[in-house]
Amino acid sequence: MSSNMIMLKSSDGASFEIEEAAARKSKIIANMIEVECVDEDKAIPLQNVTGNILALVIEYCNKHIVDDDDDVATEEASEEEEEAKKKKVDDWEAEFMNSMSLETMFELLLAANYLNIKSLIDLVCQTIANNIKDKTPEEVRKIFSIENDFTPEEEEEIRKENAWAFG
Amino acid sequence: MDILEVALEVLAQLPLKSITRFISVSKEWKLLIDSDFFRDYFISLYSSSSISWSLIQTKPQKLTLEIVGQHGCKVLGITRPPGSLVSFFLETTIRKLLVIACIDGLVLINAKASDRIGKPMFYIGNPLFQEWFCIPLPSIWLNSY
Repeated sequence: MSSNMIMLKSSDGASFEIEEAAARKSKIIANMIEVECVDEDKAIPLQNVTGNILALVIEYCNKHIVDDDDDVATEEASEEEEEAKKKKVDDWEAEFMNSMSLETMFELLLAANYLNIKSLIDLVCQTIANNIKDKTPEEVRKIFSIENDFTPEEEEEIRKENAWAFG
Repeated sequence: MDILEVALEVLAQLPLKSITRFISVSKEWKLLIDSDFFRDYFISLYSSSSISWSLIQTKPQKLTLEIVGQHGCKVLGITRPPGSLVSFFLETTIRKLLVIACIDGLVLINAKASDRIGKPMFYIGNPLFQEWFCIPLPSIWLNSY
């Protein structure tokens, strides 16, 4: 395992050092490394990601690169060990997301999308979904900053047609 | 990734009950949720899971439904544990029961009353939401009894 370090620079000018293996979690950075766009002395500028969000992305990548190493080391792990390891990752992810506001989640989602980290996109979407699944349409509009463009009659009609979902 | 793509990804993770409720969020969301694209995307995420049910006649007048499939239950927003039994009653005792058709979650049942004439009864319903409707017989049938 190479322990090359690369530098990432956030939109607000903060620099972060990250292991190449962890940075490769981002498809876009992995591609840059493949085509040798990465100069060892120069930080990669990430114009769409602020420092506080980038710190979260890096925390996620670092955690998951360790897990990938574990996988290689214990290839013949028993089913129970696999389960236990999966639970550990799930617990970490739950804890990681738990401390976040919805606003931060949306920013993290955009960053994960920009950096193309599929597993992080899925994790954030699942967490946002868990957060809104019992909410009312009105609360969801607020969270997504959506304006209600139905007339009261149209809205009433939809509620009537789908009464079971509003119970 | 615009706000609608975010909505797509998040909505696809929700139980059906929440998705249906959020049709009323905005016209854009309604269009998205009603679209074939969303339907296909949603189904593709759950293609590996399935939910099954069976209809059992336990007493002359009582039908019992067994729903199996934990993951399916979660997706559909059903809180009952898998393998749970729910029952519903027909308006009269029956001697014969037949599932005639099953499409898009709706089931058509034909039951034959156990009285002398054996009047046929048709019920259409959704086993998961346990709503059953008796379909009135066309007058031409009624006249022949």
